[in-house]
Amino acid sequence: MYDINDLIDKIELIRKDSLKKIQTSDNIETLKKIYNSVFGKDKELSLLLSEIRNYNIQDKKTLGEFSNKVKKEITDKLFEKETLLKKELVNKELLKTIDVTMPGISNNIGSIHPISQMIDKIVKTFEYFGFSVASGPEIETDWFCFQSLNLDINHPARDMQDTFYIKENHILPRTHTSSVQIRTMLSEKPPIRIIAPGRVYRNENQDQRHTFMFYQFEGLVIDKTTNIKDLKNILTTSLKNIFNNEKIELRLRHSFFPYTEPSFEIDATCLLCNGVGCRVCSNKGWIELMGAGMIHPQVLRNVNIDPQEYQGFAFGGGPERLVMVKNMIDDTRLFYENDLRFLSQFKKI
Amino acid sequence: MKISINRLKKYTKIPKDKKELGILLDKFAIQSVDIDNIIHYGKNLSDIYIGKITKIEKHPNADKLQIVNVTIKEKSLVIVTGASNIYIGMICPVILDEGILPNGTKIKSSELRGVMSNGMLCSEKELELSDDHEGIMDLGDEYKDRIGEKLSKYISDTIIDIDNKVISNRTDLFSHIGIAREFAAIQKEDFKNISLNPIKNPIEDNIQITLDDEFCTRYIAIIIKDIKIGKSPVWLKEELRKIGIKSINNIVDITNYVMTEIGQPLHAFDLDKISDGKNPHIIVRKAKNGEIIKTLDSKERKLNENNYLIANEEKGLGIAGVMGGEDSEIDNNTKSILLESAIFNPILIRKSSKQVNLRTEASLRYEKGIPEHFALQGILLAIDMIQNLNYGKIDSNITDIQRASNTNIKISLSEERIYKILGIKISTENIIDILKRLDFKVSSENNLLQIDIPPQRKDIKEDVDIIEEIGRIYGYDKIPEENPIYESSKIKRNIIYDTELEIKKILVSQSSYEIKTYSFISKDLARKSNIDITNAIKIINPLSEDFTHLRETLVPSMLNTVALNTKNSDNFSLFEIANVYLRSEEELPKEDLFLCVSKYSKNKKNDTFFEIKGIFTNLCEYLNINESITFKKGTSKKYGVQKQSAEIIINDNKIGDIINIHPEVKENFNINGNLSILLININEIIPYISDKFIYIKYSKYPEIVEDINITYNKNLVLDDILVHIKDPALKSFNIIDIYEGKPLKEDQISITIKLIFQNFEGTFKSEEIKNKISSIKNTLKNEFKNIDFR
Repeated sequence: MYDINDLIDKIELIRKDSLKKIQTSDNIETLKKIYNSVFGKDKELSLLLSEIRNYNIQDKKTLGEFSNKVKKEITDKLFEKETLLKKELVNKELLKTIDVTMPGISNNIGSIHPISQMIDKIVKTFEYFGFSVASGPEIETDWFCFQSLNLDINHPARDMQDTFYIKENHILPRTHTSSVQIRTMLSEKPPIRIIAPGRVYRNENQDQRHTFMFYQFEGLVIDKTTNIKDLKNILTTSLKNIFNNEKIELRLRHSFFPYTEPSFEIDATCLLCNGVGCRVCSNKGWIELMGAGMIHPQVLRNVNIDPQEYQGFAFGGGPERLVMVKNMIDDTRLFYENDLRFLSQFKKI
Repeated sequence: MKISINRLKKYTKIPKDKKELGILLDKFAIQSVDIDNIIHYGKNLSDIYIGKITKIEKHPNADKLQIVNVTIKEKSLVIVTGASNIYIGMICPVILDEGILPNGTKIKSSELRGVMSNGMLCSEKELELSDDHEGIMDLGDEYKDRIGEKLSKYISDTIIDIDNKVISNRTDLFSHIGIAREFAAIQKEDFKNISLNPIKNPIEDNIQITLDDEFCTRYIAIIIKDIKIGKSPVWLKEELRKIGIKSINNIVDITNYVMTEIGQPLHAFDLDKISDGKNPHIIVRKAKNGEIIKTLDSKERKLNENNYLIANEEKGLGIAGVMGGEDSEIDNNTKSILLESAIFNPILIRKSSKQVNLRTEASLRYEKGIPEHFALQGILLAIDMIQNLNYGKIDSNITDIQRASNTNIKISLSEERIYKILGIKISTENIIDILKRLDFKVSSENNLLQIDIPPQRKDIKEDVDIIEEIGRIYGYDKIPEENPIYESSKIKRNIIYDTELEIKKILVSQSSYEIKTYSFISKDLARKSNIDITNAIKIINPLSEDFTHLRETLVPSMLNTVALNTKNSDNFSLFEIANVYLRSEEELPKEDLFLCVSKYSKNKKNDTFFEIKGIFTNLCEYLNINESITFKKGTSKKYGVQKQSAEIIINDNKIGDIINIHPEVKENFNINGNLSILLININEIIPYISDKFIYIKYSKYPEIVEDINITYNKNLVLDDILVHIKDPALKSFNIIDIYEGKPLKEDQISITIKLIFQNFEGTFKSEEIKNKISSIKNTLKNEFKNIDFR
């Protein structure tokens, strides 16, 4: 056991030593070391303080008060110094200048094909109206592709000049997605609301406006009441959404398709000139977007649906055309060349 | 088909004002037939004068040129021309010095080989009236009182060009009368039908006719004698020229005029060439196999049983409804004609015209199915014109053989039904008015309409056809625009569509670009890809050698697209999701949906195999596939490198491949660098995709992380080592470093594995972790000889 004065001297020595070290330290790590060397469990000060319990009450009190003061002084100084050093660090940090015009660091992100983007936009839009996505085989029988749709054996569309065949007059890559209408009407009971995107094939020479393979989307509604007014309203609302343009107007132009009656072409006000007339719309102010019509009663009878009880409409169009109109693309073959210099211009997920 | 607006004026009112006419044409295009093109015929002719040639001299310094004096009013001009069809007295269009042609060219007086030329004589093409550039336009004697006047005063019309496809169900619209009725209906103006006189003073029947009843349902013929073949009057030539038909001679021109007026093709045979002075016997029959006929275009046509002939007892005289024969053609010496107006079976006409690969204005109309009564109207109008113009004398009664019974179609239609389809109410009076203007006969009782279909409307078969007529003439623009009220019914997700889209999004987030390539490939592309397509399904009528087979794999098209893009990019990833088509026992081929991803790097240091495997790992993670996935070395694909490829297996099912492309295949496509491909059968992975995440609790005590480093011989497979790293407290482990090279031996590889331990009861003591690590190491040591730890 030390003499009380010796003990005080020893503590005092540690105090001085510590304060000096604190004074001269220049980083937070050193401060931590100093703290540990003073207050660590098996370190000097702790060992000295553990001696206090051996003194009499009065000395204990004196030593206690003294040592508390010392402890407080050291911790205060440590804290003070730490705050100072932190502040210095922050100030140093703040002095660093960066060139904010340097490029960001990023992972490259790819892109969904513009046709897929448009198809998804169409699908999402019609989903609001309760349509669901339907599909059917790309290679079809002539019944599903033609006969059931009122295109009889002698219809020109069935010529070898217009249609590819796997087996003559029997198995063919579908020429339109309308075959999905038939498959759906045979497998589901009305009410039906479907949207069917997919690949179609035509035996046509390739040029700026034609590729022998392209995409179509087909819509079909069958219930007891859906009429031309509904057709007009749904298509107007949808196309406004697809082109993100509330000003688009639609007009139904009388036309002829064997599988619809009445039949229309759906024209929209030209997106480029807003209907004034320009090169894109051949000065008409309107551009043709899709075909549509009320399902022909004979088509309904072909799939065993009573045309007196059920009715509805169908529409179909090409997503390529919509993408081209929307983005001013002038050559449809670009979609199937897949040059990254083309694809990377349509970054969208 | 071209329609002259002036020609419609006989039947209905046409606005004179250009703007009003424009509005009417717009309405016509929306409510009736779309217009491809509006041609302002004779536009920009303001500098063209009518002149008369008074003198022709040879050019002294040029063989091919002539010097012409032309009178325009009192003026006389000297013009040098190279045309050869000029004659003294010819009346023709002339453009003067400083005048401007329709195409914008300015004419200037100039010296041609020493002779001053003060203008130009014009051809039809130069005036943009037709494509005829053979000589100077001969205006004919009708213009003799107009010399000195501007040509634009007499030649001016609006021509509309309509797409035949749009009216393929409306045979009645292949004529000016038909179009005129539409114009009358859409502008609610009167329609004045053509009135044709029956033949007066009939002479005895002298034509014998034998028909193939299936093919020919009506045959009308008449004999006209004292025929004077010659040039057509200028107005007739002009009417034909405007709609793109070349003038031949007066008789042929009349038949063509009638065809475009009524919609009924006619044919005139030289009577002497078909009957040898006897009464003619016309036989409409099937051609024999191998029978040959020379048609009007001087081509020999080999026929078969798909063709039908107009014949006499000896031989064929023409391919019925398609083109006449050269041997029976009328010419300048023709004295008498047999004029034919017939109705043929549209389907058989189509087959016949296809067989000889010949489509004419006549066959085009016959293919659509001409109404029976057009035959009589047509021949009556032609007879009328021939007689009025004094080109011949009627010499027989009209012989008219009819095989089809006239069935009058009646349709009853309730106003309720009209409302149900159109969605709007139209008054009874309005409905009846619309239908009557379109030549329907209508009676109405208690909101039920009884409608008689006019014979020319062969397209009207059921009530909806009538509703369409009402709708379009009433105007679809009058249907109000409202927000659709649609109660949502059942919501049905399409799992394949949703998955496809999800896969696309995950791949795009990993720098991959979606491509879309053609479903058909060529033998050559397959060969370059080391793919055997002997079993692939063939297109029997391919567009070209490039697209002959349905593809059984997406790889060839992918290789092609990668090759294309290596020209501009050094490092990229592409993907496609599409069907492949496999031969099947079923009626239709099997269609299988595949994903094909490629990763290309020009720099061979980038290991594209593992880059693409990384893409696949992320794909599985984000598709939430929780099944354990194994990779089996090797591939059956000839375009892959055996030792650098793997089959991907989930639950013993092969779902795809990762393949390093064979160097020879890369060479075939001129691809330099590393290229790997991932193939996945989407239908195979769909069952493993989960939309549920199972929450697993984690310990509140801190995790202990320890790294171990294993060096092993490369003949070991990492997966085989990893299966032995087990401990109940081991939460997970990751490979954090892979090292090959010095100081390791060449056949050695070193990996660093980060082990993460967690304890739910408390914090691990360091002793416990040490024991666990050494137990793992011991297990590995016991299992493998060539394994070291550091």
